[in-house]
Amino acid sequence: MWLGRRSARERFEKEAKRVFPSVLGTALRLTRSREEAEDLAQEAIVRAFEAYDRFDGTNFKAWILRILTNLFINKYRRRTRGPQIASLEDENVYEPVAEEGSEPDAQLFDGLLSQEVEEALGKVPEDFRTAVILSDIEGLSYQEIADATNVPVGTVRSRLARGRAILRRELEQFARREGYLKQGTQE
Amino acid sequence: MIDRLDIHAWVDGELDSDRQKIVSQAVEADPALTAEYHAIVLTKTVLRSKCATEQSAESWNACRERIRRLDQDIRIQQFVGRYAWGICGVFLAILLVGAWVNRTLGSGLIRPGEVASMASTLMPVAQPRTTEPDKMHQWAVGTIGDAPMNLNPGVCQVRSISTGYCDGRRIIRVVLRDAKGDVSVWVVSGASTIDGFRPLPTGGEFLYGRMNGLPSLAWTDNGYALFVAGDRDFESLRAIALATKVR
Repeated sequence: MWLGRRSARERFEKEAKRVFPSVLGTALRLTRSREEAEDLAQEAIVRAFEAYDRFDGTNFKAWILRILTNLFINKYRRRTRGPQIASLEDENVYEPVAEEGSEPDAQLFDGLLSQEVEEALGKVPEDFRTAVILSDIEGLSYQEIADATNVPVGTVRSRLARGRAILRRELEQFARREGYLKQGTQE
Repeated sequence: MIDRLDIHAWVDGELDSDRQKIVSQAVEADPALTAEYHAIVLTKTVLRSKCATEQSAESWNACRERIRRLDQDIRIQQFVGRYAWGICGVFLAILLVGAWVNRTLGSGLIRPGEVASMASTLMPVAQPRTTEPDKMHQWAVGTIGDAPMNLNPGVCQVRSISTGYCDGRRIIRVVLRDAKGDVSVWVVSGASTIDGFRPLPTGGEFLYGRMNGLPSLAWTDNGYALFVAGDRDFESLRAIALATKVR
């Protein structure tokens, strides 16, 4: 029995170590505080270990990010409430990612630094940001994001679209302010 | 006309092949949708390329330490939970074995302090309403039963007898009187060794010491320990002990 538990722990540690950068990165992007992110990531890992015997064995990363997201929503969000969705109707309104009549320029954001992208991401309202992080950075499927955030897949789709549109706008503002944006691209 | 959310789903690989075909054709045909498609792809690419993974060995080590402590707690809880009855049983067995060992192997040992404390358990035996020495002697002999002691009316007179039981042992206390005063003779069953008394310096069969603060002589006889205690010198006690000891 003891040997079985030990090998289970070793298996868990191996898996957890592999996904820990994603867990910590997601925690950091959700809380936007290093200290809270480390607390959140550690708590998520510990909770996952406690529930490891209930893990279905499919996608460990998605499972642990689901625990992390739920933990964030239930415990941390009250303290670190970021920009929120203005209203439910806003969430369902489609906002184009591309500006009307403009051609996306691959070089548009080349000059942006990682920190600037992170800052722009931080300005996206929390529910949209969560969907964008889980999809675009962590590569989770719509169903996995829906499970993690306890919303229907349809809501995930609209949150992603909205989140990307807001992020795109923030990135453009950043690029324009910092002079990375080519003259005449937007105007 | 397609749902614009389908463009996101296409970029995210969430569409089946049929729907993917419809969406791709629509995107190709409409410049606005094409721009939307490229903007989505670009946004995703920027995020993927610019958002670095977070490495923190310190945080991971702290995390692993918590897991190990938790695992240890869980293992202990599981062990105790699973074997609680066994652990209780082992403790109970240890207690029972200890009690048995104490009773069988240690029961032969008696300490004078124990004997003194047994006094509170004794009850006086009713005496016959007579002053005739022979009748008193008969009563005393009958009362002490098979206890290995002599009652010698020529040396001492029986004043009273008390009996009782303590820790499974039968105890008899006989108070004798001679010209120098009263002396108590204690007879304790189930005792083969006397602890705390030493052999008399003059040698012989008796041990000496103090019991309840009084000078005492003691000896064992056939599973009984006998003590003679009185407020007098050892030589005088020895005379009574010699008269009391069964030859």
